[in-house]
Amino acid sequence: MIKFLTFIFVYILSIGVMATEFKVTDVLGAPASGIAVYLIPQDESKLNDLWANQTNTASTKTIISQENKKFSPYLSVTSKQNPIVFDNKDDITHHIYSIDKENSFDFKLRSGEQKSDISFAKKTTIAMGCNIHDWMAGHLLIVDTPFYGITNIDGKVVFSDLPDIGFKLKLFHPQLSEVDNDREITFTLTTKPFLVKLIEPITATPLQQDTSEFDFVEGYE
Amino acid sequence: MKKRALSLLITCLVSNVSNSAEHKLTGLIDSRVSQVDGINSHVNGNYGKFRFDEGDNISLSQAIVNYHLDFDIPISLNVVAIAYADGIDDSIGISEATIKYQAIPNSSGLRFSARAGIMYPKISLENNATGWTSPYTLTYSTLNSWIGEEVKHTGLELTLDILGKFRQSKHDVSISASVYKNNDTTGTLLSWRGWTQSSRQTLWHERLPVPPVKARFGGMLKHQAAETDPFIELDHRYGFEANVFWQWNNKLKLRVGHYDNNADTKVFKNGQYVWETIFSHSGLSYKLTPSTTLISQFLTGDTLMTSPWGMPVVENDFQSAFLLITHKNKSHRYTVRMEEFSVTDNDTTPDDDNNEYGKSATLSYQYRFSRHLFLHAEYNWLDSTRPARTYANQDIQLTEQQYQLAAKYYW
Repeated sequence: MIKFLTFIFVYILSIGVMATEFKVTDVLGAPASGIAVYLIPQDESKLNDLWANQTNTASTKTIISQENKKFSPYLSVTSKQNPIVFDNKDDITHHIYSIDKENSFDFKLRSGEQKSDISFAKKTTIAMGCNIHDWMAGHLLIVDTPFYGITNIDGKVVFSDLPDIGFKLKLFHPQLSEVDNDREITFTLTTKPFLVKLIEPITATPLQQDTSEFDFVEGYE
Repeated sequence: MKKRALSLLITCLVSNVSNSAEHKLTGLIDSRVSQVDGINSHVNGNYGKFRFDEGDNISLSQAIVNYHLDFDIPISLNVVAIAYADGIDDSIGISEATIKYQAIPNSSGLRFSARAGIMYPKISLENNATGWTSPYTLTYSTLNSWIGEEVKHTGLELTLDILGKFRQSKHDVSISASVYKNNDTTGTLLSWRGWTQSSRQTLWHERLPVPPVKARFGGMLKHQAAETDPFIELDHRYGFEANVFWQWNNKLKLRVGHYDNNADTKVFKNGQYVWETIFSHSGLSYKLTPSTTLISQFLTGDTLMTSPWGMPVVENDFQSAFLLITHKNKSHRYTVRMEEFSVTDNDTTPDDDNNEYGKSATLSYQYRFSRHLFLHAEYNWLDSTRPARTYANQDIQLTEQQYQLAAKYYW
């Protein structure tokens, strides 16, 4: 009897939480890295339950660095619950801004300083720049689900502790086509990696590269 | 009312300084050994095309300090001071002084900015480093040497930037327009002395000697003062300038612009005539490879000086163009520049022949010892035909050569 109950318990647990791997590839089948992947319940009313069950997972900071006069990472994804930290690792000042009308901000961040009092109330995408170094470009995706990530060099992202409530998978990258950014992909939980192939080609990510080839350029152009 | 507003602004800025402004000092120390095979320099009012006199010279050719003050409000101040200790005309003073407002781009990537003060119009594609110096060569092209000598002003420049990155576009466009004053004698030296190849920018207080044009000595130009004041305001009229700058994919930069100082040539005060100078310019910078860049500029225009009754006295067309290729290989930079220039005299004033035609080639090598320290060697060859040189008993057709070795410390 105890054995049977243990079996049932382990069985339920294994259905209830599973580690699931997703792999994103481009139109030619090559791994697509740096793409934001997030899961939303098919029944969106279950979002609150999802968050309720997430209380024990400590919220992690999302760090957006300014390093070598670049936004690093180029694309960050975080949930609206998580704190965001801007961290200037350069030896110069940056003037970071968002062009989003509803979430506009701008602040100067001096060398070695951090800023962490910026938060977002709802799901959105933010395009950011530096008003001193125009080549710098960064993007931030705010989601309202606890299940989000960025594909690694192999195009993979893994979610553990995924409850079996039925999800839709969504992708985001500033250089993805609208078709791919708007797609909602349904999937069933299996032990096998779930493959997502982009419908349209992804355009090149900006190099965030200073066009001048000299260190002591003063903006005369 | 104006005074109160001004004092309020100053109080606001000063209190901002103490709270949260950021100061930045940058600069350049550039010392050189040079040898000129030619004639004495235009800096002292001669016809020599180079900055240094014939023979050998050791100089502190420029010491530049750039003071930048950045407020937390989107306003910044920038002042450039330069000292020359070249034994030809030692001098120290202000070259540029501007206050700038720059807004945050809107959701379409449009950004407005405004700049006021003593400034260069945006023309040069060579002079983009600290204190309007060139990272490529020791001497600037004839085209940009003239900008550095006579084409500075006090004005208000409005710029609209269209940043492509927010529309996933590789095209950035910048449109600028200026109104300005303190430019009334622009064209004087280009007419009477011709194009030069220099690295000396005129400081705001400086007056420059006029070459010995024969008509100045008892002829039609006898009322002209011995020195021209390039930044004087005599007619109290505003000049205009506009340009469009287009950048594509970190590779291509293209600028076209037009300049018109809108001067009233009937004004004449204290030996200074007002010259009406109008020109158009275009420039291209293209990265042939990640380490090789091609820069080319072209400028064409005309200038007019009249008697106080409006009779044309000096009427010239001028043109200058250069092609520069620079290649960087680790710490080494190699630069070649070819130029062609002319002044065409369209008036009949006797003893004042302003015609000129010339070509130039520059070979430049730079070695970077550290982030800040550069050793720079350069050879300039300049061949020109200028009949006015007979006024100084010099050859009409003349080839001048200059060798320079410089230690440059950017900080």
